[in-house]
Amino acid sequence: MPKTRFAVNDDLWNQFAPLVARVEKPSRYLGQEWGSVEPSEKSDADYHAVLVYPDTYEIGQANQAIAVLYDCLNANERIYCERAYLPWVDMITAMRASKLPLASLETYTPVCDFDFVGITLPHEMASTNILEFLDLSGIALHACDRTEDDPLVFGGGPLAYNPEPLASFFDAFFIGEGEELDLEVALLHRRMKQAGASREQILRELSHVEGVYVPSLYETHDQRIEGLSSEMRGYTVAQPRFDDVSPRVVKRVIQEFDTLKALPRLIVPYSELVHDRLAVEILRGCNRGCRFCQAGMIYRPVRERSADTIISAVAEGLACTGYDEVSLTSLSSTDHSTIGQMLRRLNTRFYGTGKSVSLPSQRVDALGVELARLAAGEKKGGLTLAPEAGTQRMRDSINKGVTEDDLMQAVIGAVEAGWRGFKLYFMIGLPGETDEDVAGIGALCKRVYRAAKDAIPDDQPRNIRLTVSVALFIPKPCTPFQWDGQIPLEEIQHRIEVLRGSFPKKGIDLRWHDSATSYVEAVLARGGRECAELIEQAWKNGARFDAWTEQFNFDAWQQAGQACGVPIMQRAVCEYEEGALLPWSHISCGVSEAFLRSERQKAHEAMTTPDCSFGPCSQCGVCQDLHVHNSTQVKRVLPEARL
Amino acid sequence: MSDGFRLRVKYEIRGRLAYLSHLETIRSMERVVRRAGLPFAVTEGFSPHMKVAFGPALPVGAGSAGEYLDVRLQSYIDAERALERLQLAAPRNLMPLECFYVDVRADAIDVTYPLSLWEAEFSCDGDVREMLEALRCAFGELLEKGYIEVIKRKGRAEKVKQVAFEGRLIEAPVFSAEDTCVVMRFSTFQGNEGALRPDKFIDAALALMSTPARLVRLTRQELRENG
Repeated sequence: MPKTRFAVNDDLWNQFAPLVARVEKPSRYLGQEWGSVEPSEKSDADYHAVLVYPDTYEIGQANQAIAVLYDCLNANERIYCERAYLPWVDMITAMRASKLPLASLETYTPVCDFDFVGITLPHEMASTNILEFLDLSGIALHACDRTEDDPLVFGGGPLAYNPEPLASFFDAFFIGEGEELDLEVALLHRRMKQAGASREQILRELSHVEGVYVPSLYETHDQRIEGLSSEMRGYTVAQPRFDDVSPRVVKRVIQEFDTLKALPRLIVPYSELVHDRLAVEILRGCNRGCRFCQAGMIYRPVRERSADTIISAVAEGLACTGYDEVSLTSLSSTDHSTIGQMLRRLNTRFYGTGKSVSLPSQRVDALGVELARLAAGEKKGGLTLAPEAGTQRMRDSINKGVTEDDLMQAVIGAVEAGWRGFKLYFMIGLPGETDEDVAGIGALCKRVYRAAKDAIPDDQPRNIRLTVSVALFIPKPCTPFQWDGQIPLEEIQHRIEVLRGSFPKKGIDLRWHDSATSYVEAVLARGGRECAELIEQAWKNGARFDAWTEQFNFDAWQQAGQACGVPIMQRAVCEYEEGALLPWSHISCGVSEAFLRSERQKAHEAMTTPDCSFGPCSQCGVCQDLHVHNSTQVKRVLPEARL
Repeated sequence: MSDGFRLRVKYEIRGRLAYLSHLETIRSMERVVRRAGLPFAVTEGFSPHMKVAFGPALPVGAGSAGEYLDVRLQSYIDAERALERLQLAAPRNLMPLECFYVDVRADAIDVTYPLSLWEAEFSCDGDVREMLEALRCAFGELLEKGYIEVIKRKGRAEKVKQVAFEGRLIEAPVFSAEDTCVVMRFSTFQGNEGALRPDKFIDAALALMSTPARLVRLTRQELRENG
């Protein structure tokens, strides 16, 4: 292959320019940001990769996984990695009218001309966007229709733990952490392609790489779902077609997390992103074990970076990007064993510079508030807490590990520290939930509101802003509630009535999420390959940008569901049989099915399981199966011992 | 000097970055200043931020050969040295060109430079002379009318406003034919009464043409002092 193969496609940009001039937020389509890799830096590269986020620039560019993988791939001199995002609807319409293909941001190369197209799979509601992306790129939707000239289309991210609904659209999925895996796959693909191997040979070889799932090498069988009528389809389960293909694909995980670069090469956008600040990942994994939470299962074990590494990354990151705010990110940043010490050190360093530190979430206890105070400084907007359920029985059932005392201490402490605005998150429709549990949300919020008002000093106005946001439970694969269905629509309506009745008419702002999107999400989360047809039909019916409330088109999904024999409402509420094979049974995040079943049983009995990063092993199976272990900087201790 | 030092930075906006909005340019240039490590001053109070001020906004789609920002510095740094640091910290199409100090009590940028000299380029697939004449006619007709109408949106409400050329259009368009394009130059005044937006001015003239010319570039060539 010739050297300096890559250059900016000015012809294509010149065709895009008149379109860019008349759409909303042109900066989404410009590229050329500070930190982006230019073709002149890649004179030795001969393999072209593009990382894709299936939503708009301002959502995708904020994604930390893309930033990390962009850095990992570009660190190799043979690979030039670019980025592409889904244009907004106005640009999509303009591109289709002008017959322009979707192109990368750095060089405006059509996506279909790349070797490697890596699409992030962030959540179920991005599924139709993936089809929109492939179609706009001129890449055949179905992997089986792609030719030797087409790129290999890879998927990775949370959805890869049940890739089946998207299986027919991808050549391969990456299960688990991508820092090593993406590079390994790219280099193997490059080597085989240059040696003249066929697409089929390459995919077969890729299937031998730990953490790679090639769906075309598996055949599927239909599994009936108990309780659904015979004209409705069940789900599919997958088994390998060949002896050399593993019946179980286990996730890739990096034990030596602290040795990974804490600060990838960062791109500083021109437009405002959803999270427009420096993000430094301070730890990975969360073992709190909330039974509804998929992230708490698939990202185990817990691995912390050291305070010194984090502080250096923050200082260097702010200096080289020009941001004035840093977020210390992870699933549970306040659980980091040295978080208090880190925040104090950062506050000392940033005093008087206009720079600030933020935490993405707060623990529901007094320590959480103390840490939030350290992070917020004088800026005290709103404090967000997530008790998730209204009664202690229900909080124990979901293993939330929060008591009413914790919540009250947190709120009173926060009022004393100066906060006046609070947002509380809850869920309804959880397995085993009763009307009493739902009414308990209102009762708890009233007590919180009163306690917060009473905690205001006498010489200050007694104003408290309390917003309560209630979401509908969505069962997710790899969780103890993966077998459970959602509650039927009539039951939701009833529980919302109970919920509303439990709240005072004034004082507390109560909001609940649209149940229609939750039903679609639940069907896709637990579906098999039969859902590919559903997604494709919904997309053909006009569904796209389903995560954008104003764009969500429930009719498109319902009609698609009827046409494909996968009716949304019936599928969302059905319970799967324990012990039966599931659509994702061949994909393993390391957490054993026995553990999930035992956790489900404990949920029924409202029994809790402690977080193993603070205490004894909970026997989830991850450490034994993946040969890894929790790795904290110092021994984690419970909050009461730390204050 | 207790008020610190006021460094004026002249920078250009080129290529694709002409499509940045004014707010995006502001945010990006503030980040350039931070990356350059200049000793900028910070406001005191609830939400501290950089003491920086910018010149008049450019329309989205217009580039510039010379925009200005003023950043307040806590300590003196040689202007040439500051320029070097800014240039190393800037994206290549948003490039600082010049740095110099002004009195901390000097007029704001838009008061100092109330005049804008614009250059527009129209591409031509056919005869350049014919297009030049067609453009001259269209702009002539528009100038005779004496104003353009612009739609002001406030929420869902729309209001049509007349923007007269008098006092706003300082030098009427002058055309020159190049190989495959026509270049037009004109200047405007941005005062308290509201400026004439060059893009709207051009759109209004193009709407009068039977086959509208294609605008391929609009650049603020210079921000000028009055007189």
